[in-house]
Amino acid sequence: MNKIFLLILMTVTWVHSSFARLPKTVPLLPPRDSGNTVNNVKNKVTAPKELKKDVMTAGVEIGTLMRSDSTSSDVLGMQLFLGGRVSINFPVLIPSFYLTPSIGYFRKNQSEGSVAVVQNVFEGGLKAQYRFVDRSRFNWSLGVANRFDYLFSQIKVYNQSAGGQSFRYRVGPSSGMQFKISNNLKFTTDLECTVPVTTPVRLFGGLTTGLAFDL
Amino acid sequence: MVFQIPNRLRFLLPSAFLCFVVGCNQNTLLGPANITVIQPSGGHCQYAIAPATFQTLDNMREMRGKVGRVLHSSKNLDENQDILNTGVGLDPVDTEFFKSGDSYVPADLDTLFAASLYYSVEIGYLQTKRLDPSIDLALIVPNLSDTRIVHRAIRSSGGYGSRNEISDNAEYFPLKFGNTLLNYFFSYPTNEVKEIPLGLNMGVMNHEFTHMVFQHLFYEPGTKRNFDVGSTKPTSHTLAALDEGNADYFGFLAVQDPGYFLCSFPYENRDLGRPKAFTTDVVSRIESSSDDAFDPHEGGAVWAAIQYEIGQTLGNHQVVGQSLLRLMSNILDCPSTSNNNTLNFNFGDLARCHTNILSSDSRAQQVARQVYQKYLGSYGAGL
Repeated sequence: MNKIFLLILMTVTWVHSSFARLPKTVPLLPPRDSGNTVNNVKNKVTAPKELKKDVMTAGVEIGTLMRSDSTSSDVLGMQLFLGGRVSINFPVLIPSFYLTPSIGYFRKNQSEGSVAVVQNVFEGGLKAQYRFVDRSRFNWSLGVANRFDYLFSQIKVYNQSAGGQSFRYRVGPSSGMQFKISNNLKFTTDLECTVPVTTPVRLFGGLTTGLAFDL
Repeated sequence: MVFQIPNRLRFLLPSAFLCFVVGCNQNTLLGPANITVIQPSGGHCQYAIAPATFQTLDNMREMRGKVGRVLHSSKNLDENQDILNTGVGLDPVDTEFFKSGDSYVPADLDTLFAASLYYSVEIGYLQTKRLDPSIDLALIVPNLSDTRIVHRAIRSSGGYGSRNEISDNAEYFPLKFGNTLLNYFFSYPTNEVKEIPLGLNMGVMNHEFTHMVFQHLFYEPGTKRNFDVGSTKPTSHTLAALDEGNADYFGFLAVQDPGYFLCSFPYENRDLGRPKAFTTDVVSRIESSSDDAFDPHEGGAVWAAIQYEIGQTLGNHQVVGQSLLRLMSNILDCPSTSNNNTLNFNFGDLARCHTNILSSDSRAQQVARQVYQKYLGSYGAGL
């Protein structure tokens, strides 16, 4: 479990460090030996129009949902659920403002001896994010994540099992980054921190990474 | 396009949201509650995951009530004695329940342990009261509600500073702090056990609970009355083995499976259903002056198997359970076990005291005497 978490953490860290190393101005075209003023001006004028083009994307991410737990934890006081999300990201209302509905599934299996408890989280979500940085190969957005969880736990011992279910709504800030890999493909990574509005109040973290396709 | 919320929904939506929030705040219930735990379901090592009624619970989220509270500390309790002395640093287990009909289902393993540990202690409390209504441990044990049931306790074997953390065990630990006796139950982490973890084995936890009963029905009154221990008979070893034997038997009473111990440790010789006797070897180890050769569980297993056979022959284990509770407190006054504030006895003397307690039920007394004569070996002479 910890290895998977470390892998995701390293990926996100790498992504962040890549962001830090990005040149401030990315050359859009290779330098030319000779050119006229008109062409240069044309390049400068047309490029920003492409950058600001808001497109709809569909994404698939895997990662971990973290739940704070003061009794037993996998990492830093958090229990890790592993799973993933599929989402659609589309612009609404104003430039650089996006809504991201998603569905996801996360799971945690705990066992001692012949007794096991499997926790399942089926998640429906809606993120509203604003792209503060929007470049041709990279964008970074901040916003609010809303998650509606359907929870199902199953207790197992030998050939017996029984379960219980519940619902939960949680909300909190989120951040996402997208890196262009090819014309229609982006590498994505998302972070979020949510708190349920119901008791018991716990801290939830989301750390997912994956791919998004332009639609 | 601008999306507008219809007027009639403007109040409905916040109200629905509020109901959702309030409806999900379900984890601080007071009073009796039905909580799903792993329960014995009849038959050897047969279990059902089913709701049980917790009758003494005050706070479900913190798993505390009349018989104690379930706690946890991530620190080694032997290296942090202050935590044991003061209780500061022992926190409620982080629990979460899901509602299912009129019962609550533990959402994770820690919650399942917390619920099961509390329920085990409650079973012991209620069983004692049912067997002998004059014994209400809430009145006998000072601050019973402060009984500390420690989930996943971290302690070291081999004394202070040892790095070997105890696992696959459970323990009752009476801690004297000032003038107060603190009652601790430790459920240690599971490491090697492949079957039922000890914290979820209600028979094992009731075994530990019986140690607390013996502490407060025998040791505490004996200490207050300044009893001495004589030296002509193996009194100390016999007491230790009796403590274990009674605990084994009351563990059986709680789950009605004489082999409950094997549900966690399949290869131990702790099945009450298998007859055992005080053989020459067992007696020699009890009477050994060395503690190294003596294991209280060995003599205890013989005592427990004898009690089981008495109950089986009678067809009534309640009579045996009730008489053993009386034996616990009568040891201090029985002519065969004490004289002039001095305890001096072996298992034969205990059997005499026990059969005297059963004198009001001639059949039970006769059956007990026969079974004792069958298995007591040299201790049965003159019974």
